[in-house]
Amino acid sequence: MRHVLVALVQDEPGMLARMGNLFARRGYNVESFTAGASELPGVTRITIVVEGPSMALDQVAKQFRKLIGAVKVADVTADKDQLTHEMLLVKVGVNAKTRQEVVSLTDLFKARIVDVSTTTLMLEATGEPEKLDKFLEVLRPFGIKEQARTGAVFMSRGAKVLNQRPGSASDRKYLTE
Amino acid sequence: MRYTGAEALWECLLREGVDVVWAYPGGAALPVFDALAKYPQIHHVLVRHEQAAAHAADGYARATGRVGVCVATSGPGATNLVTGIATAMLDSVPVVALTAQVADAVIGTDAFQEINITGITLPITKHNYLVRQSRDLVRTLREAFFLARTGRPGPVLVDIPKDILTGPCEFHYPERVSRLGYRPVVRCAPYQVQRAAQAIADAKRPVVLAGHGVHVARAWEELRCFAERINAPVVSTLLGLSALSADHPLCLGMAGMHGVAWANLAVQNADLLIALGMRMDDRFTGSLPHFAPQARLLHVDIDPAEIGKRVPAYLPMVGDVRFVLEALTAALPELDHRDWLAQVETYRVRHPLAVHAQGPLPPQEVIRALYRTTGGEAVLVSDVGQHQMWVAQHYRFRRLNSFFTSGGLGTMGYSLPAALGVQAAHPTEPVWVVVGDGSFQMNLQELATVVQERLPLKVVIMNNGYLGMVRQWQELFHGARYIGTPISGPDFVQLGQSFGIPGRRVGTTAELEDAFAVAREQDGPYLLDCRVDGDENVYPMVQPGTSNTDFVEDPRGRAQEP
Repeated sequence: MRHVLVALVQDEPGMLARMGNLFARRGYNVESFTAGASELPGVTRITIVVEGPSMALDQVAKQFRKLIGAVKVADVTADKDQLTHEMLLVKVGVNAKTRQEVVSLTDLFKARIVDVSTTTLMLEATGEPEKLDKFLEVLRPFGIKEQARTGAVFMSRGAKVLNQRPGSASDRKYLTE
Repeated sequence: MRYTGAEALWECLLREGVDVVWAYPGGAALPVFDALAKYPQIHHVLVRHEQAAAHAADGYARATGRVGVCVATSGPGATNLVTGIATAMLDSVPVVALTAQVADAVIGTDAFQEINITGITLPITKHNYLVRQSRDLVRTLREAFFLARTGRPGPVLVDIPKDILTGPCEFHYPERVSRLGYRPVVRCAPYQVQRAAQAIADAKRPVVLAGHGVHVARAWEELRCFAERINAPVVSTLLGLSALSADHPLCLGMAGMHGVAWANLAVQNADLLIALGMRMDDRFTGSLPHFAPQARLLHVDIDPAEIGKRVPAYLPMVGDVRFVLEALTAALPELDHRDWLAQVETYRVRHPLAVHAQGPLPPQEVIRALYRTTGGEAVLVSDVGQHQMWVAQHYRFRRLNSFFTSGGLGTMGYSLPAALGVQAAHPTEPVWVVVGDGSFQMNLQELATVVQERLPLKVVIMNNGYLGMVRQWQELFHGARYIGTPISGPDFVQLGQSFGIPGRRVGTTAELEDAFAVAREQDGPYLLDCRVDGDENVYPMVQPGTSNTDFVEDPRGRAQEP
């Protein structure tokens, strides 16, 4: 089953390797892994889309939570009231005859033209990964020269905030002695 | 106050209460050793191999409950620690490993004796650090000790470049330390205690499973009170041995692959298992679908990732074993399980642990003689293999926290170096090492450290000329093709003498009593080369992939029954 994990981790060297190790050890196929600054200083927010059996993934999430520097780890797969978006850059081959067709497809998908050359158009699109899949599908006949996807980022709708989600040890933020 | 980085390192160790380290010098580590001259309060033990430094720190930590410290240089010094660190990781032992690194400016250039030790030890440490700036050094060391000993303990490695060791270091030891997101749950919720108490009160055939966590939490007294209150038998994992005195009427000993039959039968027939600080290792459970089929599992562990990992828990309880036991004992009335205990007793009568060996020196008799000599009160370190299992079966641990061995990783060569640390924790009495001839030859260089430190260590070599446990598996599962398992060795008595350690050879059961008495009475170290029968197998044995109910007993015992 396809799972979405969202994590807050402290921004420090080695953290990426530690996380990668967890998934590699269990033979998980990580579809996408996105990292970037969160609202907390020094804390990176990570979205991982991963394919694997639920029981074992639950174990991986538990072990993820054990990593020193992991502030919050949540399996948000079951969360339906949410947004999962990613960004795509794609360079499509065009000629005088096909250019207009690509431009109208771009409008149709609410994508943007971000670069133009005599033989190519570079397009930028955002949205759910499935929408981007579709966009790429309709562009394919024109010849996709290059594509880059960011991987998905996740956020719940409404007032819910990841950093205050119940259910893991990280709610109690500090252990001091 | 200004120090060099190396001085700041020792200042940190002083503040952590460290008075002994096991160490091996080298180029990058030179400043650390140079600064040591200013710190006579810290005893430095020069080992003969860095692996031994890690095992010694591990042994010290297990015996004292305090953090053990080992020090090595960069490159090969650091990589030699790896097996010792992994051993501590698998058995949740608080160790801080300090490694010197090449100067910061040349990190990443394959400089002489440079190795990425934080990369190498990433999966075998609870956490590790490469200190990149002087101002991080003190805080990092403070944090390393804090992480090593809190929550589920484990090894933490700190790698320090040489220029940081030689350079100036502002010293301010932080009083408080905290890590975002790190907060082990020590006290489980009151409603969980209520639910657990109800489950225990409802049980007809409860069994307490004592794991290493009982030692880690130092909950021996709490375990005894709890077991007595609920009148339930206590079964140990390998590392849970000596958590309850073997003399206690509720103590059943070890279950699992080579566990005693009655302990396995008690677990298999239980209707409630109260697992304390144990992780349902495959060597303990046998085939999972057949494991304790009628039992609910009440699983207590400070690490939530261990609960439900292999066996689903009816009731998970995340917390410190000591706290949970106190809370449960307080929440429960005296219970009476005499029928169940009587049933367990029938298992013991039907499947006794007898020695059926006929040879001149059955290995089991060596362990039994050791038990008689020490009255079960010895501090004992065992290596890994057949002899380890015979110790677990035939030695009756009457003293709490008196047994140290590599459980999870099964590290051959562990015992002699670990005993250096255990002996440091028990300086006034001899520590006994039980070791096979194969395991002994993995780290025998530490005999030199034993002599150097004038340790009264007693080394009992179970010398059968084989890597016995592997040979046993070859006999049972590989058509008795003994490939790679017959192993030669030197004359161990002469070898000991060359280090300055007296000893003697034992070839028959009749000599045992006298030989052990001589060893015991020696002020200094002593070595016994016990020439035990090479074709003995460890029984009972649960074959891999089968149920713990289907243990195989010594076939010779069956023939003798009327």
